[in-house]
Amino acid sequence: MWQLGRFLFFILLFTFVENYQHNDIFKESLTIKPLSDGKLLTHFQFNVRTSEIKEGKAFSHYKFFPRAIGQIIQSYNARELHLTFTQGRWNYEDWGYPIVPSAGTGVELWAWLWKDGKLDKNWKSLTNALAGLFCASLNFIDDTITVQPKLSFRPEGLYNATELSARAELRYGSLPHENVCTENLTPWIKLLPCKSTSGIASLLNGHKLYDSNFHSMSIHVRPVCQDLECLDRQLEIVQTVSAVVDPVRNSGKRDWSLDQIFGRRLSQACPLAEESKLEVILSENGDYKLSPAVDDVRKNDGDATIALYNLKTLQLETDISMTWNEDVFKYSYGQERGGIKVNIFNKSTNMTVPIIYYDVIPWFLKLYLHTLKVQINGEEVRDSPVSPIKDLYYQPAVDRSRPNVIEAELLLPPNSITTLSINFDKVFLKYTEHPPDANRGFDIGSAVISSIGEGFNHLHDFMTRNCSEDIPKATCYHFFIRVYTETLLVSLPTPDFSMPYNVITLTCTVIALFFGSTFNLLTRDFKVKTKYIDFTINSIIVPE
Amino acid sequence: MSDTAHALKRIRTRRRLFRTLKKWISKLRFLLFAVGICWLFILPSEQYHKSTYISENALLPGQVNTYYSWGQVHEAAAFRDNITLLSNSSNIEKAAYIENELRKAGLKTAMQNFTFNMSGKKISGINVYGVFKAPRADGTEALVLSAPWKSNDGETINTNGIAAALSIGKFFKGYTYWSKDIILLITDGGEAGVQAWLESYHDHPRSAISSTPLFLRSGAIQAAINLDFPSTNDYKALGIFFEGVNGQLPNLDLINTVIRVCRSSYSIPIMLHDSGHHYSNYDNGNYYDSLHNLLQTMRHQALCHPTGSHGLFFRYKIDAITLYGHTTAKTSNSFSFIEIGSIVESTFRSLNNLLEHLHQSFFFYLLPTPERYISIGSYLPPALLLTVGLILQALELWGKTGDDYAEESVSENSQPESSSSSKDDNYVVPLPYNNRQRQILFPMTVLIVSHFAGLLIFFVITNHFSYNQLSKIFGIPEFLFTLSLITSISILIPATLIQIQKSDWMVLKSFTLAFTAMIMSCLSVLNFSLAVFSSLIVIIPFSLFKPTPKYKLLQYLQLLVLIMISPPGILILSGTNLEKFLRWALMEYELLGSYLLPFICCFYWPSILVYSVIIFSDS
Repeated sequence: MWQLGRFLFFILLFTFVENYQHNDIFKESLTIKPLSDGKLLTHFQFNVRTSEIKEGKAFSHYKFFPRAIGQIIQSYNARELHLTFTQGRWNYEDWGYPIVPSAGTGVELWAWLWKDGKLDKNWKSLTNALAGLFCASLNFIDDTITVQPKLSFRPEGLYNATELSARAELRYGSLPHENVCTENLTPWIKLLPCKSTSGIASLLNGHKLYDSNFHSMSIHVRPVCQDLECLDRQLEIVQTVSAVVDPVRNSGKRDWSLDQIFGRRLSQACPLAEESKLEVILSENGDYKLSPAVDDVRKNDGDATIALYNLKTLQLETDISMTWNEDVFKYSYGQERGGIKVNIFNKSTNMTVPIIYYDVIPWFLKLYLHTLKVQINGEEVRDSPVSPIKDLYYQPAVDRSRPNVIEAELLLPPNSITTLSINFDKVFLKYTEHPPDANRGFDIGSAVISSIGEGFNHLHDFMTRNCSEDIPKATCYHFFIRVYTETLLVSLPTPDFSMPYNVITLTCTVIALFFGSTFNLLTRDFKVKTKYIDFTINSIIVPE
Repeated sequence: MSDTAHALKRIRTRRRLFRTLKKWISKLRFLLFAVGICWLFILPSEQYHKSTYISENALLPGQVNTYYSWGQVHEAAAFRDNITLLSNSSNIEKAAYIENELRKAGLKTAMQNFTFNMSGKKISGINVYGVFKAPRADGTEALVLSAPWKSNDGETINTNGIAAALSIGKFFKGYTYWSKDIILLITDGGEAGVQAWLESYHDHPRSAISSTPLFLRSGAIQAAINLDFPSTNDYKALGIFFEGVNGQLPNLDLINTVIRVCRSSYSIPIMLHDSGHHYSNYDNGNYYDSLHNLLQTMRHQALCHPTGSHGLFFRYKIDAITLYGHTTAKTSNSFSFIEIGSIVESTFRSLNNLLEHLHQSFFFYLLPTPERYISIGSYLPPALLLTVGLILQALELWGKTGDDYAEESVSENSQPESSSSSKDDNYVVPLPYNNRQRQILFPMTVLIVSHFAGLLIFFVITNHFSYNQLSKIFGIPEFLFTLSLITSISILIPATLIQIQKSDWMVLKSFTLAFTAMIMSCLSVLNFSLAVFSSLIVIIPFSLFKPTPKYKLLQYLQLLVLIMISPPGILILSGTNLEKFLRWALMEYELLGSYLLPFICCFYWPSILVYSVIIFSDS
């Protein structure tokens, strides 16, 4: 009896100690933003912060921070990890910038890994572990598609960046033709403290989510500062799901309700969450009605008005209608006959915008660097002081081992169209290197245009997502804005893999093998030399 | 010992065989020609061809429920009325109307201005297109639904075609199952408009069209359907046009899909092109209908001319066909928007299923009826038989030029052979050839000079009409004079400068025959119809003609035939306006990249020039 009592006491003690030590914070929020073309952006964000996981320290107690991710980060020595699954295209022209940088179609993974002597092995293990965790083909990110960008994809965590770049290295890989579906969503939901049983995560309905026009699901793990001096660091995991739904398609109206777009209603907030809110980003001018009544309306640093619901209320249904108009930056992307062309529009009337253009092109497209041309408004710019290229990093491909990488720092003049073009040759692949759907062609991942956020202060909602209240403002304005171009499909010379082709190939091989000997037999003359007749052998035929 | 005897026996048999072959070769040649020509006429018979089938399993044609219904038909009818009102408006107004409608449907739209200057003629117009970006798709693939402003005849306005395209585009927007973007393209200015759009879309300026660049774009186009439903009537039969530039054809699966869709849900008679028999369900027509269809296809292919806007897509590896509304067929039923819309919807749903580019089925085929095909393996042999005859003759002549020297040695060699059976041991097999050197200076000079003359003619034609300034001072008579000057000089140079030996014409003829056979057999794979028609014209004269110094009359008769089968001769005999033809052929060459003109100038004409040297060379 006494022993049982002591045992219970220990359990209580442990629980108490755990609760005392693990001051993990969990916040959840759902942001809904009507877009200018009648579509609706819904953005789920779940933040977990822990001060427990420290570099180089073994750690085995988890409260809200997902154990699966924590273990992967620890065992493969990752400092930062960014994984995004995207399906569809973000329509920059109509929708403006995404609230949180989305990625190009497919899967994108990039991580800063500590230099510990087995970095490449760690990267490989990391991709494999994540592949297993998310049921995705991330293990196909091998050496041929892994790159180390030099200018883009800077660390997003809040700490001394120079220190990091000296002690860590960046690895980037993307799979443009990876389909995203519920099999990826389920493990993603499992990482949440409340799973999908309560809180806004209960709205994550696969049927509705995958019927949307755009869908992006991501996990970002990064260190953040706890105070202004950044003496104490925490590890943060941000899980987001962004989906662009089209209420117009179903009802013909812009009106929406949670029930209509997710097929479910909100019942209660996640009890573990410190903060659970639903925000609707409103525009200045618009005739709309929200029901039930908004708990709070606050104004952002920018112009946006945000209607806020604290999710203590039950039964949420809202109707809203308004107009929205913003058009800053657009791009287009096209390729045919061995060339890539990127048009970058700067629609700002008075601002020169510095950007970093980044493109990874697989080894089977042989780029010709001398054909790299930059045109501004249709006029070619040669090497001169006005050249928009400020810096260029180019890594030529090595066959079957690494891809081409182009990174260019460009200055976009106000109100201009900058066109980047480069030509390539298509390579004949070995027949075993073709995928099973050989005639589809090869997907080339998105090019990424990054820009430092200073010039984009008006993109308030983008900022607010990244800047929590307790993070210094100056650092959060240094976030990169990333614009992803569309992926493209390149068809390489494909052999005819059909049956007649195989027959022809086989026949030709057989004929080629036998041709030599048969030709010899036919053209040489044979003569019988009687002199050498042996007793045992009747005759010897000697080639003349 | 018995092995050796056996080997000897085999060698002897082979010799005998060759000797027989040599003896019969001239007769065999004509037999081959005859068999080839007869074989060509067997092609349309029903026993010879097979039923078509869907090769790409992903297509599943006609398996979906179509939702295009009366609501869309009413919209289409409204579009039709508006387009009818616009029929006399300017290009700009028309384009603005279309763009507005597409924008209202919720598509991203753009216009493209283009101008094309050619042979004193200026074609300009405005293309309008809208892109429906498929939700959730990554935008790497696209399908095109196009409709030109002018119908196939170049005059009637494609009213129903455009109206149907607009309503279908608007209708497609309401669904999320699309895996590929859909581009709705309304082209202006006939083929030039399509060409301008395709060149800009692929950023591949090739012809002399100047056009505004396209900033609105989508992914790689997988397939295109072109709607041609002229005027505002109901239609009796659905015509299918499929031939492209240079006789290229779309993948047979695309045609099969459309036909399967029509068959599965509607009893619309289908016809190939816009004439001939219209085929209902389970109707395979008779021999003459098939022959008519084959001849139509072969005529289009031989002229290297596309039978509609779809024909220009092939250059960019896009499979495309035109659906045409035929009004005068004698059938009781008629069809209108609801059928057109459903057929297009169902076809697009099938194409939407594609995981890969259309590649499973045939790219080389002949269609005697809409649902039966002749594959390349079945139609190629007759074309090759025709050329085999030429090759045999070329080899025979080549051998003959060597035989002159070696007649005695041949007879000497035959002696030991006949007696060899008695003394096998020391028997040496005679060389099956002799080492006589043939004079190839004269033949090669003639060949090179005449082909060079062909190139020169081509150069003169292309430049003569390209520059407007030049054509004003340089009319058709002067032009003809230049051509005849070039031809006569090219004939005279070798004839006068080089000492001709007795057997030189044989070597020359042998070379020319071999060269013609090579060109024709290569061409028969690329453009079967052009190869067959040109072989049928040249084969008999080429194999028969030779110098006949004793019969001057015969010589001049041969020359007359050669003139008749030369390109100008054929044009004059067929009553074609020479200038009109030249302008047409040139435009085809410059705008569409047709190789008819280069083929005629660089291969066909020179070989006839060479023959006019041959018939006069043995003097």
